[in-house]
Amino acid sequence: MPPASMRNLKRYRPVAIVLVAALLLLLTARMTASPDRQVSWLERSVSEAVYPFQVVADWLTGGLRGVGAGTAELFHLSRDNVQLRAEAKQIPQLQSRVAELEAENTDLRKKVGLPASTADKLVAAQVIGRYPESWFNTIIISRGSSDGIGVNMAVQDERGLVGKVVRVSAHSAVVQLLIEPTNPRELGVTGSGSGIGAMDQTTREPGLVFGLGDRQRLKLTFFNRDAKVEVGDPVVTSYLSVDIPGGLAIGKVESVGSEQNNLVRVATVVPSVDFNHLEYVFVNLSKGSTGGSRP
Amino acid sequence: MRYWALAGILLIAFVLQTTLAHAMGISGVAPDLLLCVVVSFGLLFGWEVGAISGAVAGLLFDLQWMRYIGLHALALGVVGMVAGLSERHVFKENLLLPVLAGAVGNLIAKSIGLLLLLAFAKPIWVVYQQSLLISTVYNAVLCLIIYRWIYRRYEYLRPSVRTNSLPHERS
Repeated sequence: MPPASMRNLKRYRPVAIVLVAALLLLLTARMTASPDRQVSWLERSVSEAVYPFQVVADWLTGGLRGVGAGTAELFHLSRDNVQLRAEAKQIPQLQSRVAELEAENTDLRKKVGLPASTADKLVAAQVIGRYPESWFNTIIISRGSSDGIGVNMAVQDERGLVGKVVRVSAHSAVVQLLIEPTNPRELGVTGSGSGIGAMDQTTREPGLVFGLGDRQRLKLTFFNRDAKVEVGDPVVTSYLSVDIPGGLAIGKVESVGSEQNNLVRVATVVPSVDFNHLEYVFVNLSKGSTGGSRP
Repeated sequence: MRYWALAGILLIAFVLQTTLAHAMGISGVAPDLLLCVVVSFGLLFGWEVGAISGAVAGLLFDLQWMRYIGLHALALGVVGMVAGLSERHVFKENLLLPVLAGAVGNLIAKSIGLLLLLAFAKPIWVVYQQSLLISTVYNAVLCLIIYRWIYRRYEYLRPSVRTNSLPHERS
């Protein structure tokens, strides 16, 4: 018969294993919390293994969504037709105005010695996965480092800025949406979160946009506490941002207020992108890091 | 125990969770298929199977999203273990069992996630409050469906129990 100490050891062995495993998982979670770390081969392998299933599943659900949306749209066809015809009449006038402004811009840039602005390089990608928990607002897109995608590249759709690339594998990439809630204290420390350089397009007041976890609202904190901002002002990305190209639409100011004993001017912004219905996006290759050095 | 069959079920749930779950969401809250499978495994096969399947499924999920690796593994591992600890004390045929276990499991998993993410300075308190009720009800109902599906295959999955009766019929 084994001694009492041996019996106790056997009895508490499962508890010890569970505790050690929990401790290890806590440690790995802490170690992998930072977005500025190397992605391991294991993560890349799992991501690559799931990729074909994601493409097939997206194709299947896309078909179902298409049938549902198509049926619903039948009821609005007549109204949409009238509206679109009215809008289409304005297109030639807008086109000539844009051409005029472009020519004027090029001319002025030449006169002040600035290089001519170039069109952004965009790569279209399909949204093939979305983080199922509400904890994180991230999506997976069908393009990866083999398509030239790199971390911190801006992701946009036809309405404006969607977010930025945070992880890349060979054929897919994880994109953190603009609405991801951010702890402002994190900024500059770990570089995580969705704090993105922005400005009021009307008054050119610069600030930082933060996600609140709400798909309908963003928070814009201005650097100037006396910033003059009006409800309805368009908000775009700042030209000073290292990773995000300037001038991309973010949303419109819904309300203006102050925080921290009137020391900080803030605004609530309604995003221009519909984050509930993202199907196709474009990755802007103009900025961010290319290739897979830090995938 | 036919471990390969359990692993197969877990793998299918993982693929469905990462691909289709979001499309099945209600008010932006997606169902947690992995949680339901892990809870069912725990209730039917005990705490070891529950804890290990939860940890493995959570780890796969974390690896796929490439951040906070261990977060879901810990949450689902604990849920599987808690469900499994009650295995010998519950009446497995009872329809309320998976519903209750699903709801409690969801609360435990989400609370562990909340605590860990708050500890990592991730502000998700508002999201937690907004999604908790919907996710608890949704996962409780889903757990009932998944549990019943696995329960009907109990004899196949656990052939080492040489009996023609279902677990509740044995003394």
